Amino acid sequence: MNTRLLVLGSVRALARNKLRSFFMSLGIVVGVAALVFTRSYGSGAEQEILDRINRMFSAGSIMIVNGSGVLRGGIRTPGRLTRKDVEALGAELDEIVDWSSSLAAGGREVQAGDRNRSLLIVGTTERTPIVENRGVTEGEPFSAADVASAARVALLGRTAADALFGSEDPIGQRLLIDGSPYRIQGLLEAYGVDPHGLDRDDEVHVPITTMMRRLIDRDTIGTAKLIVADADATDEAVDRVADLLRRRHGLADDQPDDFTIFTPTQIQERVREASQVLTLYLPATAAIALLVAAIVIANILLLAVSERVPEIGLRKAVGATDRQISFQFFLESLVVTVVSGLAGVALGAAALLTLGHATGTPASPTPDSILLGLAAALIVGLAAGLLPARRAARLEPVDALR
Amino acid sequence: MIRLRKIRKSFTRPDGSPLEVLAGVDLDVAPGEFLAVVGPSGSGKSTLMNILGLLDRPDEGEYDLAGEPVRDLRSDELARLRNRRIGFVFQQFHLLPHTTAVENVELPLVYSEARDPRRRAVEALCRVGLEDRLDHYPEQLSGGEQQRVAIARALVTDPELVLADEPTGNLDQDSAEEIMKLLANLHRGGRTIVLITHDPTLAARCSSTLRIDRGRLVREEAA
Repeated sequence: MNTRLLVLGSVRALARNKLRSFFMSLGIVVGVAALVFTRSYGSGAEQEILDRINRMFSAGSIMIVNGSGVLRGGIRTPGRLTRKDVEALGAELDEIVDWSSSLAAGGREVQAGDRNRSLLIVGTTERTPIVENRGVTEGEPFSAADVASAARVALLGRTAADALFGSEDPIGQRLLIDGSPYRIQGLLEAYGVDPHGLDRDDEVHVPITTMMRRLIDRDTIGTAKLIVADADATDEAVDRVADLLRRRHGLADDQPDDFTIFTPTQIQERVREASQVLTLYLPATAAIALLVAAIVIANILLLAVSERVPEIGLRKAVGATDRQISFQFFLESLVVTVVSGLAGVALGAAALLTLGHATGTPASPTPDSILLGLAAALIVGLAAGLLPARRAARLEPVDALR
Repeated sequence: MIRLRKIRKSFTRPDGSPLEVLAGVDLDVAPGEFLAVVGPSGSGKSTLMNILGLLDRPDEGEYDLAGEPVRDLRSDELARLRNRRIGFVFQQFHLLPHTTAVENVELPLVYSEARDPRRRAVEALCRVGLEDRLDHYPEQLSGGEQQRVAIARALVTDPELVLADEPTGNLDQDSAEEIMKLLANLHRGGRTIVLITHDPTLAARCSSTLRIDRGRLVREEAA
């Protein structure tokens, strides 16, 4: 068999029936484009969230949140986590190499000269630059003495600094928080938006002791972060941390934790679960479009088979075997779907790049989405060609030539 | 070339009763023979042609083509035999529409291992005098020219046997004359030709004539 001539014939047959070929390809183009788009966009979104989490919460770190039920999203029971607990964890557990406490309070009125702004206030420690991986770009971070003495000093995020001081240099300036004066001693390293969607550059940091004694009068902290020496042993460290905290809080065996511990691995799992909507279910709807496309193509090809009965008869008369006839119709189905699949990938990629351009967040097709799209087109082509090819092959040459 | 023994073929009428078209046909066609099969319409000429052309199977009987019994061959083996040994010329031409003359002639070579199909198709068209019509579409050709394309298609695989079923039935007299001359030429070139026709004057130009009568063949002496 001369395959080149057969392929050429298929392409010509399709080119002759432009409108019909267009309708055959439409569903594939849209379906594949939707598949590439949703799949790439979904995994892009997932990756962005994971990146943000990694920055805040790198491997080998343990986050303790005061109170229970945090991850379940239910009502938190009030906790009893204190700075002393955290210091004890650091001192007693060898695998904990660094630690820091923090406590945040939102929506406090902050004033500088005649400007004011409602800011998130975060109490931090001298260890925060290391533990949270966020230092200052100008000025000085908090010293141990600042934290010990509950000094009235502050570090300002970039967004907050621009809002309150404009082009003026904020370092050394005075700031009023709840009416009390604080001296700005540094500018926080830029951070961006955190996984909760908060602009972490629009906040002010004070020593955690200042926060607890002068601003909100509390002796428990909000969260603590611990760094484990060996990231691979994080799970074991979590058990020891929980044991020690339960002991320090005098919890009986039948009482639940009054704190919540989580690790980067847990969070990543949760993000992946949540983003299945984007990476799995949304692409699945594109698959429905492809199913419809397969049905349309199969129908059009069946129609073509009955229209081309004399042609099939003639081909058989001049020596085409059943197999070669079915190959021809498969070929026509495959040529349509593969060409449309490529067009669909291009369309999906163009949509992604356009969206990326418009929103400023770079978006591009992922290799797996392209492979998925082309594989889907191929499968649709094979499936849609099956019935028409069989029907064409089974025609008897005598009946077909009549 | 062809040896038929006790070939039977019947069809079912629309009312369900059987209609016996070939009632035990015996036929021997020698290589190089130019044979006419004549008979009124409905006499089973086309059924015989379909069986000779391996397009249909008899209900009963033996058929040897070029010494090879074909009764038990699979359909793909029959297809291969049709491709290699038989050229068809139909009353309705059966050219593919929207396909140029040369591509139509190439068609049998799509299903063979022949090299250089385009050159062979062009040569075949030259032999039927259509060297200036290579890229014409069937709808741009006269009936006679279309049938010459069909003859070129029948020749392109260089078959021993050419089966022509009423090849001039749709043509005016001049075109019919040209087609008959072409067939006569092929015969002179050594090919075996079976011409099916209802026209006694065409049959008279063949080397021998068989009349099909009530499902049986009767050999008539050449006039």
